[in-house]
Amino acid sequence: MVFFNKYIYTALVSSAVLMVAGCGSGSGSKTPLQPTISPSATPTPLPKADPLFQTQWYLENTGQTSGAENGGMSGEDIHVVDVWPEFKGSHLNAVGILDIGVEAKHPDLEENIDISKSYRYADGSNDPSPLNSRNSHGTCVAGIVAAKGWNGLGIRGVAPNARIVGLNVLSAPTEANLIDALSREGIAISNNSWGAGGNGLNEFQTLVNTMELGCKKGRGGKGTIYLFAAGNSRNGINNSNTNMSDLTNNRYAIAVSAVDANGKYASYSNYGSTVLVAGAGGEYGKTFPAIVSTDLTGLDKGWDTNETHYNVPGNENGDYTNLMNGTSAACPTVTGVVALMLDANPNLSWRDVRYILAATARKNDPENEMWTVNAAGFHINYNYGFGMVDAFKAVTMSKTFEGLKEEIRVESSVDVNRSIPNDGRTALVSTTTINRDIIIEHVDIWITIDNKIYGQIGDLEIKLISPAGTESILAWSGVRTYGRYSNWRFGTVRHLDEKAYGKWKLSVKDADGDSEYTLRKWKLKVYGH
Amino acid sequence: MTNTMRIIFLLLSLLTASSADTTKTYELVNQTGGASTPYVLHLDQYAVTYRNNRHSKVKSVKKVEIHPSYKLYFLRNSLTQMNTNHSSDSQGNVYYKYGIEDASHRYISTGEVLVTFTPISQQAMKELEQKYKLQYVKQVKPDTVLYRNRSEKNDIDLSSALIQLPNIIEAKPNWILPLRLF
Repeated sequence: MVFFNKYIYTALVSSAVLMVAGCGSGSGSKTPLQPTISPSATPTPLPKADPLFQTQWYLENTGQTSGAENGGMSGEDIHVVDVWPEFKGSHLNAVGILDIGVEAKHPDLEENIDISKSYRYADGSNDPSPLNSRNSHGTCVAGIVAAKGWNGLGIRGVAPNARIVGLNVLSAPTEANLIDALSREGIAISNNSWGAGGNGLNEFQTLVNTMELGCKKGRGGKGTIYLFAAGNSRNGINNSNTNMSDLTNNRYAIAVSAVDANGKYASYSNYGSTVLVAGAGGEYGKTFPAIVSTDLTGLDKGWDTNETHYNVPGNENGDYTNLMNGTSAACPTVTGVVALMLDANPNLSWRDVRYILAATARKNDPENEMWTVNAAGFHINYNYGFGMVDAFKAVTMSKTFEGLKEEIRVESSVDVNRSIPNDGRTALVSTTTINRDIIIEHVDIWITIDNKIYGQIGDLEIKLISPAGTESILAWSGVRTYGRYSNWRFGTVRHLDEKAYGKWKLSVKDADGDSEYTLRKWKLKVYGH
Repeated sequence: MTNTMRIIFLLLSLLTASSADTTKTYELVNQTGGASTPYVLHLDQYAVTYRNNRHSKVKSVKKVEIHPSYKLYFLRNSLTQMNTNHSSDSQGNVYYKYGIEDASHRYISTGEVLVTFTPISQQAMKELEQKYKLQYVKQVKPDTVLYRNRSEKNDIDLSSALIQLPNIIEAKPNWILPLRLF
């Protein structure tokens, strides 16, 4: 019975029991089932179990191995099973999967895919299926969000009744196509398990502008919800923090980092002051579990092949893989939670969704040394943002959330024009004052630093310190970073609910002291209410 | 752009002109990094044609935010062209940001350019398209049009020329961007 939904199994063995409304959700059957047999009643058919559900540690972590040598830690999951009796996602809020393609005819996805809204950029058709028979990335992502639940097949999505729209824009990633995919009408939630790589500053201002417009106009003015994978570049000197890319440091994107089945940051996961929450991304599936999700159908396609077959009951045909991982996988776990939140309360604005995710996140990996508490009492961590996403708490808060007050923006600019000490120890500190007391939601900082030699700027450590003393590291030294901070926009979510009024400090240090830098100017912009 | 679309665009321009909001003047930083006269943009009206062209709307320009672009300057200084082919169709030219020759820094031109306009008359737009050999492909944003580059210039040089024009806020190649799946 290892691969049988244990709650459904409990119901089955008590043979006289009929399911009551909602109890087929997994968690719902934790409540003792009451027989409702009457002589003339037609028994309600039992919901069909999803045979691979018990391998999905990210939905309910019991320490299962999911095909790896070791299991994870019981309870380290997104806490979603108790949501399903009430909310399973709905077809009202379409989730756009911007990816390499989603297999439209996958039996565990087909019922939830909206072909009419899907788009294949390579040929202009509505079939979102991938062009390449090997790459199942988008199909895996889609399954994590919204594989059909209780259908007797494979896995269950986080939001098992949500509507998926496949937009395979990464198969033709021109700027024009990306603008189109990020601004498609009818997309409520946009999952983006992709981003920039490399060691440079990655500027995509046009795409950020498109997201800004989506947040203003999408969902009838409540705003499209954009979620982005934080990136997979935790790699020593090649570490890349989320502030090095426009896509993950802008306030319209929810940047999602990844944790493993033990609730600790995944070995590859990016970090940074703009990570809002963590999702479940897993490891590589050999030593520690990866993510089980939908794969391209057949053992000759996708990642589950004859050589890599996850040979368990329910996956005889190779339609599922246990090798999905990355912030690519973590992102859709949070996307699914957002789908459940909008199911519970479709009036939430894009700002509300961000706030609720942060306010309800769970402090995972409590021993991690990067945890601290901001002046408003929020636990914050560069690895996890406000912590691991908690579906149950997020949905519960969503149900009665009345919305944040109207947004207020305040800003201040400073011309500095001073050299940054190059003794390797002393930081140049510049201050500016915000004279209006608003409750902070997000902070942007534009910084211009001249470097005499164009190129490597990875020796600069840049910090922002709020009036309350909370620190945001915007750039870490000791990494390889190319480019120039020419009015580069950094962001931070770490000052949530603090008060903006008072003196803000910017600290810039040349850690190795062998370069010549000049801090020209910086601008602080605080968004809040 | 079809004749029908041009007529719609012109009509909308005229319509918005008659109900103009207070004129706003923005000063853009010179896109090429020099010290020439800043562009002055009159953003009191704007005609919007939606992407699918099934319906059109007029929007107040106050809601259109203009972002001064440093992108072209940035690209021209940091991209190394590795596969130069100065043919009339520059599709497939490969550039590497910061001169780092790997996939994560690779930009590929497509023979198309993205052009963001200030309010512009149909006639002026037509003349501009003819002069710079721009073939309309589609409207990708309310103020942005995708063109195929039919000129002798490569996409960067064409964008450099276009961005000097007073009716153009931003012009840049429709890059295949160096993105990766995570």
